[in-house]
Amino acid sequence: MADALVGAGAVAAGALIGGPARFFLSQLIAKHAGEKFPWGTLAVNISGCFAMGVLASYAGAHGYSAQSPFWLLFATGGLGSYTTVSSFAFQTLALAHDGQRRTAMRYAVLSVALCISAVAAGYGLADLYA
Amino acid sequence: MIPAWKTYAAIAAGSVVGSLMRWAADLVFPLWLDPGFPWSTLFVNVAGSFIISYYAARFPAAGALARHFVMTGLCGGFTTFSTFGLGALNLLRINAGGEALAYAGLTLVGAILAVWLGDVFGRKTD
Repeated sequence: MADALVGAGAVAAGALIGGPARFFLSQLIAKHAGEKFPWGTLAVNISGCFAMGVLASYAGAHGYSAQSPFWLLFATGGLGSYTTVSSFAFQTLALAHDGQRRTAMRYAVLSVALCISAVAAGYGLADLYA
Repeated sequence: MIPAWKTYAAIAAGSVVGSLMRWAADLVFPLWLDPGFPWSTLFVNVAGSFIISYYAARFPAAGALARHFVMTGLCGGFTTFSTFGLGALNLLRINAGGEALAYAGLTLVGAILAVWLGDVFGRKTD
């Protein structure tokens, strides 16, 4: 019971920062890069994936499990809510509805490819310097 | 004009609820399904994608704060790209390339199909 409360508190605390940070950064980037292409969400997702790779390497090296308060705070709550699939998918559909099928396709493929690469890069770099 | 702190509060509240729901899925899914495959993350990403577009299509007149609570906060906090990416990498690291490819494909196709379906169902008002 106490573990569940600590866990819920850790997830909630991470999400309290992660969600608003995503909004702040994606708005900031959209303001500078324009709103024709969802650069803001793409940048948030890529940076969050890179950080997730670093975090996974660190957690592995220090023996933090998936249900440890450390992981629940930074990964499940923080980076989990910082990144988003729903906005990504919603924007992809909006581009397609707007007659920009190619851009939609490019956004979808770019997001998946760059995000998985970013996790791998973060993990590899952190392993290198650990 | 809505003050910025109210927008941030709505997003933070939605994000907390969405993340707790995602954590609950992480705890429950491995009890029924193969714990070696990230079923819970696949589920939340597809379900959250359905909810965001269903809500947008069903309640086009919703206020900015309600939209931020549900779409930016709740759906944004429920779904996660970083956990998806890590799950795919973890499958690749144990040489489960087929599973990694299936996971990425199912997430991508599932999420896009879900927003499309959410939009279709959300427009049906009767």
